[in-house]
Amino acid sequence: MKRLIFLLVGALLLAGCNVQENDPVGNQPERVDGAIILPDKAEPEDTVELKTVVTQGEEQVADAEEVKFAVWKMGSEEEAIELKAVHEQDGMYAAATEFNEEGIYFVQAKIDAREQHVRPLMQFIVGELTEEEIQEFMNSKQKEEKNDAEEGHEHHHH
Amino acid sequence: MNIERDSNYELEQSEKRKKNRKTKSAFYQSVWRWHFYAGLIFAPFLIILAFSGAVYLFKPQIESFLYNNQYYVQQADSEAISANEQLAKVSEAYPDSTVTSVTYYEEANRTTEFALSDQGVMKTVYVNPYNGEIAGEIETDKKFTEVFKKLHSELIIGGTVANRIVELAACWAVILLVTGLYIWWPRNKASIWGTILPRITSEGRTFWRDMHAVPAFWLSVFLLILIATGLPWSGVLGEQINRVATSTNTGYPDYAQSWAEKPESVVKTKDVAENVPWAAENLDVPLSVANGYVPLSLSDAAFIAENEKIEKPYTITMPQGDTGVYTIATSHSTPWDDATLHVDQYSGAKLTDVRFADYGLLAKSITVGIALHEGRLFGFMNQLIGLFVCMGLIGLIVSSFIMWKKRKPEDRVGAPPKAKDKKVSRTVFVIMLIFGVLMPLVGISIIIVYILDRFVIQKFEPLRKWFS
Repeated sequence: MKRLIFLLVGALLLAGCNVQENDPVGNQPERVDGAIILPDKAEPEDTVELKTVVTQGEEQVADAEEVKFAVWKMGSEEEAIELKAVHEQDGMYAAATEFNEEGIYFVQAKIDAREQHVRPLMQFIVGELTEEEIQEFMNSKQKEEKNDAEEGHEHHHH
Repeated sequence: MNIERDSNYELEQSEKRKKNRKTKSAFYQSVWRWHFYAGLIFAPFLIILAFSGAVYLFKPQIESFLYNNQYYVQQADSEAISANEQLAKVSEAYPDSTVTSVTYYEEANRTTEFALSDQGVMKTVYVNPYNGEIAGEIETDKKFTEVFKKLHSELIIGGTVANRIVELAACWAVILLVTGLYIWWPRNKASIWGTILPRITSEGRTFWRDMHAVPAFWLSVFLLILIATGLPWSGVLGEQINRVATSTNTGYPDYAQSWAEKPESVVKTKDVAENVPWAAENLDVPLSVANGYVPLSLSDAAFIAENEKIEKPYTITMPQGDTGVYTIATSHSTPWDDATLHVDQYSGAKLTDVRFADYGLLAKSITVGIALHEGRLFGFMNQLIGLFVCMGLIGLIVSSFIMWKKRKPEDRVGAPPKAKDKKVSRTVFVIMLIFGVLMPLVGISIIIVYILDRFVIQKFEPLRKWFS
């Protein structure tokens, strides 16, 4: 054991400079984040303002390369529409759209800023939900939860 | 005449030395005895390791051949459909399954792999990325190469005990190498014949002795590298190496391994959900049916992976639970491309990103060592060298077995006789104990054998005679 330690200490001394440089995870730029702001409630045909505040740490990011919103109704992701958002002030980007029908929608902010890509996703309800829609939604939710509970450990290596 | 003399080489040599330098001869005798017993006990395990390892080395080629239908698509011209669409096809075909991870490959004609748990059975489902058709499935446990991996790491029976036996055999292989080199070491009037070149014209035991000792000398460095690169992932010694790496700050940084601890996704407060007018009046609906952040889809995770300069093949592991993360990892290509990223499941923000360059010195060497051990460090040549060493090891064991058979009396195990000098025996024993401290499993095994010998074998005359 002692000999092993000596050997390793020796190796360590040789590698001294290397170790210094090795700052685990620390040398990465601070994370860009986006918060989506939506009204509490919306009715069909209303014009709804979609907003996102882009930040990097404490700093508001006003120089994002591109901010878009993708909007789709639950179950029809392939028909998603994309809206280009414009910078209003202090890192807030906005776009406006109309939701044609009642139902559960998804609003995703696609933010490309400072060489990072974040795409926060929010669920948004328009009008009143039918019982059927709620049921369908709950079913998909339940499956998800079941999935989380079922997932086993991932075995790796030998 | 010559042959006659040669065949008695070892005996004569030791006779000579007994007269001149008694101690040295006793030392040789004692080391040989250790080498003999260690070899006798661990030879079967080493054969298993060499054989299973030799097969597992060629995992990529074997799997590509065996699972050609699952792995490859006929045509790869059109554009691939999205990850979400592929996932939907899998969920459709396996309605009760839970997808745990998805693996993408570099080759355009390779299928996408969905690892899933289907009613408790772990399997991989292969999806044609161009039309979403299921190309086939393989149960993880039944995968051909998986069997060899299990043989190599757990002797098929599995579990901790089997794993420890494998480690023990590997550790004893180190001792066999060291003691073997000592025995091989040319003593008086060194000749290249019988040391670095075999005396092919000799017969009998001398021939087989040369067939054992000479190639063993040539292979010793390779064998040592193979063992040293395999030990870091063993249960006991590997754990110790890890501890040393951590305490010297030369190991893996946090979140460097996809199967280890993960950071957590930030669950943003769903404050909007608190005043949902219809929720209170309508039905008994939980708050989840309301405005708020929701987890990103697989397509989003795949998009992020594509933007992060990660070499394929990489695996995206699904988030588990509310605070789970998407993990994007690759460690199956060459080690320099290693990457493990953890991504917030609600925003897609990179939480951690650890690459090979971020590893400590020891972690870097271990990672490169593992790639070398598995034959994927420098391509086909690496595999060939691995195969050559495995075959060589089996050959060594065979020649040593023949050599032993030629010497072994009917009624006894035919071990080299005990050294007369008790002091020398004790010195060698202490040296072995030092090995035992360096490799804890070896130490434990020595103690067990010592107790067994002292209190069982020596007490029963037939056993004692057989082992003498």
